[in-house]
Amino acid sequence: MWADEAILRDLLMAEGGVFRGVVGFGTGTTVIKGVHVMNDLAQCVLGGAPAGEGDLLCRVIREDKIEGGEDNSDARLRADAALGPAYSRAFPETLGAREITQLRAGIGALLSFDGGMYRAGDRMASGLATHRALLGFEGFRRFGVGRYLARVIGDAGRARLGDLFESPTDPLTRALAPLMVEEALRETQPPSTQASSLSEFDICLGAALTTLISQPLTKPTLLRLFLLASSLGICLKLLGVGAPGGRPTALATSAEDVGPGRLLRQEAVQSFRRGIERLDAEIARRASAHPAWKQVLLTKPRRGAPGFDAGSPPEEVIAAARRSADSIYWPDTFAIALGRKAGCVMPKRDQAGWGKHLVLTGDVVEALILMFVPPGCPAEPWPNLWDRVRTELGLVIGADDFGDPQVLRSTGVLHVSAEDLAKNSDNVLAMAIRRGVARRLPDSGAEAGGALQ
Amino acid sequence: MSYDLLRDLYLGAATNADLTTFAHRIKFHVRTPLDRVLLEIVGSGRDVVLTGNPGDGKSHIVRYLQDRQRLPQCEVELDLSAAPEARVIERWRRAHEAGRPLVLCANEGPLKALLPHLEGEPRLAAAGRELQGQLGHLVAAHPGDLPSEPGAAVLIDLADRTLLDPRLVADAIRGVTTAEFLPEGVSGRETSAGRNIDLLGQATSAPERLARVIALAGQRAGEHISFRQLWAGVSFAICAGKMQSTLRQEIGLQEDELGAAPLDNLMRGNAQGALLRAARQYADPAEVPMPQLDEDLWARGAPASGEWEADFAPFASPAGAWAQGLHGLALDRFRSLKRLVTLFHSAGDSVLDRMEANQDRPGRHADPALLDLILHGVRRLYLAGADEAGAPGWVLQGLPLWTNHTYQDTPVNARPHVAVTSVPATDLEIRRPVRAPWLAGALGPLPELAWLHHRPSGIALPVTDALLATLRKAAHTPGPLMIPEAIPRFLARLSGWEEGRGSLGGAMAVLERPRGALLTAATIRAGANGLAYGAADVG
Repeated sequence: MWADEAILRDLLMAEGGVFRGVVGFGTGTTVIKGVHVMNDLAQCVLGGAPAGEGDLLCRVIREDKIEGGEDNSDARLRADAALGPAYSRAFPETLGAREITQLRAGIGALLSFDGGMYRAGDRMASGLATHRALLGFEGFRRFGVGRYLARVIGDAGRARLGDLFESPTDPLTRALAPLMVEEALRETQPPSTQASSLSEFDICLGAALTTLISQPLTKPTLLRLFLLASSLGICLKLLGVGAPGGRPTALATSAEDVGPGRLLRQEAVQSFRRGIERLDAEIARRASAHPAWKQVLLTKPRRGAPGFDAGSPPEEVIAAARRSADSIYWPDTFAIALGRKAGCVMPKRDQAGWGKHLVLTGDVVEALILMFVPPGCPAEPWPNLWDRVRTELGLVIGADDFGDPQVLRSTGVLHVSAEDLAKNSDNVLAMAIRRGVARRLPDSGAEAGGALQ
Repeated sequence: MSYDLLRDLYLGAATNADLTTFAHRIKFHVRTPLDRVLLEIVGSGRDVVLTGNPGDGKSHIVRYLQDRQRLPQCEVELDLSAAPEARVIERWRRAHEAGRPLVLCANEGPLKALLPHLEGEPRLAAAGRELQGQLGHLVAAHPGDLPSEPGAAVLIDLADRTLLDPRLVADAIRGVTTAEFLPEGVSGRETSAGRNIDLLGQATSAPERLARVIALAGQRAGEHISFRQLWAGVSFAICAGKMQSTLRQEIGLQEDELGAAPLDNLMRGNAQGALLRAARQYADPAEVPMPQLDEDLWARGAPASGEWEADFAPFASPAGAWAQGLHGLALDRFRSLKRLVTLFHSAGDSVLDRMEANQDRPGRHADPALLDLILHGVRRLYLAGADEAGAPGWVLQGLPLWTNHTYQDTPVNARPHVAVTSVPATDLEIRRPVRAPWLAGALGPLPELAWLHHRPSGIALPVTDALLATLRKAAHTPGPLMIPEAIPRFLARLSGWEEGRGSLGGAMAVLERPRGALLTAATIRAGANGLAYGAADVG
C-alpha cells in the first residue's frame, strides 16, 4: 500500500493531532532550546512578557550587528523614540563610548549565551531571563512546552516560579536592573483549548520540580537545574507513553563513564528502544482511532509528492513512516534534541554508532537529589532516594541491586548485570559526592541531600 | 603465621575478624589508645557501641579484648547485622537488669534502624537517645555542635579514627617483617618478598620511612582509610600480591633489589584500593625533585654522602644504561634506586621531608593565613592575576559571589560569570574539626580538614588537601584551571542566602569565563528616572 506522507503528517502533527494528544505539547521541531522553554514557562506562569517584546534588550546586545540594515549604535538608540529614554537612562552619556560598548558586550555575553536573542522585532527574544522584565516574545511558544510544564508543577510550583521571576535580588537581575523597564505583560498565546488529563508521572514530576525550586540556592542555579530536570522529565515522559501511570523504565548511565568499556551502554540503549517501541504502539493505537485514519489508508500520493510504502495494520503504517517519511518530526526526535542540549541524552550526534540512551551528568544528579529531598529534611539513604526516583519517574541507575535488574528485565532489557548496575550507581554516587550533595556512610552505604544541600 | 597469611592481607581475607584465629588477632593487633579507652568506658558501667566502615576493626578489637579476658563483665554482641533486632534488644535489656554493660558492634545503617525501637524500652530509651545524638556528631566543626557526654551509652565511630600516624603504621610493618612470614622453603633473599621482609626487618629506620610514605598517600587519598586498607598497603608493599609459586620462579635469577623493593611494589599500576591508588598518584619519592641527590644517583648509582642502612651490592648507574641506548631501563633504574634510597639510606629522610613539605594541608596554616590563602585562591580561580589591574576593588577583596547562567550542557569553565557583591572576609572564618572530649586521644589525630565557614548563614565549604592544592595553583598560575565542583556550589548557596536578604543595586562585573577576560564592570546607581550604570570603582 502506497500512502500519502502529507496526510499522515497532518494527522500526526497538526494542532489537535495524534502527537499532541499523546504527549500533551507540540513536538515538531528539533531546534528548540532550554532558553526557549524557560521563556515560555515564565510567560505561562506570569501571564505574558513585557509589551516591549524584549526589543530593547535585543538592540542593546547587538551593537556589533550591522548587516541587514540593523543599526543599534549608541546614537541611534538614544534617538529612538520608543527605546531612547530607557536606553539613555541605563547608559548615561557621561559613562563614555568605550565603557558603554564594553557594558553592552558584557550584557550580551550574559543574556544571550544560549543564543536565543536575535533582531529586534523578530519576536526571537529569549534571553537568559531571571526576571519578568527580562522576558521577550518568542515563536517557540506555539509548541506549548512551557504550558505543559506550568500545568504539571501545579499551583504551588507556579506560585514559587512566579515569585522567582518577580524577585530582583539575584546577581543576574541585579546586574541587568538598569535595563529593566516597567511594562505591562502581554500574552501572545491563545488560551489552551486542549487539556488532556495529567498522568501519575506528570504529577510526580511536577511535585519534584516544585521541591527543586524551593531549595535555597541562587536563582540562576535553580532555574538551570529546573530546566535540566524538565528536559530529562520530557524524555522520560516520552519513554513512558503507553506504560502504566505514564512511567517508563529507563536505565540511565553515568555521563562520566566514557570510553569503549562504558558500563551498561547496550542495556541503556535497549531500555530507550523499548520506550520508543511503546510510544509507536500508542501512536498507532491513537492514529487508527482518529476519524482521519481511513483517509491515510485510502489516499495515494499525487504524482511527485512524497509517499511511503505502508502495511495495513496501524503499527506497520507507523513503522513504515518512521523508516521513510522524512517530513514527520517524531516526538522522541524532539525529546532527544532537547535532552542532548541538556546533556541527558547520548550520543550527542546521530553520526555516532551507538543507539540513543539516557545519561546523568553531575548537574542532573544534583537536580534529582534536590527534587526528592526537600529543604530542611534529613538526608535520604541512597537506595531509598533512587527507589523513589524509580517509583515516581521510572528512572533506574542500579542503586537497588535486587530490584533494578528485575524491573529492567521485566521491560525487555536483556542480559542486565547486577554487578554493572551497582558500579553504575557507585559512579553516579561519586558525582554527587564531588558536588557535595551526597556522602558515603561508614557502613558502605551513602546518603544524599539534607544538611549536605 | 605464614607468607600466605601476609599476602592475604592485601586481599582483605586475613583481616576479616570473623575468620581470624586467636593467634592471628594477637599478631595483627596494633596497640592504640582505643584499647584503654574502651575498657575505661565499660569500666564506668556504660554501654559501648562500636560502629564504622567494614575493615575498621570493630569486631577485631572486641574479639581481641575478649581473647585477653578483658571484657568478662560485659555482654558482647559482635555483629548487629547478624542478629535479629528483637534478640539484640532482649540481650541488651537483660544486660541492664544484670548490671552488665553491653558492647555492641554495629554497622551504621542497622544501628540507625535499631535506635527507634529502643524508645519503647524504658530501660534502654535513654541509651537510644544518647546514641542517636552521637551518630555523625562526634567530630564537628565547632565545639558547640558536639553532643554532651553520654551517661548511658557511648558511641565509638571508627570511621572517625585516623590511622595515618607513621608510628602506628611502622608498628604494623614491624609486626609482619619477621622470619615467621618468610616464604616457605626458600632462604630469605632468594625471592623479592623474602628480601623485602629481610630488609625491613634489619634496617631500623626503614619501617618508619615506609610508614611515612603510606601516611602521605593516605592523607592525599581524600577518604577514610580503614585498618583493612592499611594492612592491604603494607602487604602489597612487601609481597606485591605474589603467590609463593610465583616467588619460586624468581629463585636463581640473580636480580638485584631494584624493581621489586617495597616502594616499587607500592607504586605498581596493578595495585587495587584507595590507599594504593593514592600512593601511585601522590607519594612516589622518585617524583620528588632533589637536584643533587638525583644527579648523584643518575651518575654514580648511589648518594654522594651518607650510608646505606642495609647490605646492598653496589648498583650500576642509570647513566651507564642510558649511554648504551637503554633509555627505558635507565629511567626505571633511576626511579627504583631513588625509592630504595628513600627507605634504606640515610639520605631517605631528606627525600621524605621534601615530600611532606610539598604537601600543602590545612593543618599547616594558622587560621588567618589559611583564610587568606583560600580567599585569594578562590578569587584567582575566577579572575586571573593578569586581569586584576582593571578590576573593581570589591572583586579583589573578600569572596566575590561569581554566578553563571545557561541552560546548555556547557562546562562551568566555558560560561560567562557575573558578580554583584563580595562577601567580606570578616564574615568568614576557618573552622577545624573538634572531637568529643571523652574520645580525645582514642582515635588518633583529628582529620586534616578545615571549613571555610560563613558566620551569618552557617554555610560552609569543606577544605581538603586536594582543594587547597587547586587553590594554591590558582593563586600562582595564569592558565585555564578546572574549577572544583564544590566551589560553584558553595557560591551558589551563599548567593542564595544573600538573595534572601533583598540587597539591590551596587555594582556588577562580568567575566567572559573563569580566568578569562573581564568583559565589563560598572556601578549601578539610582538616578532621577531609575537605575543607571556608572563607572566602576577600579581597585
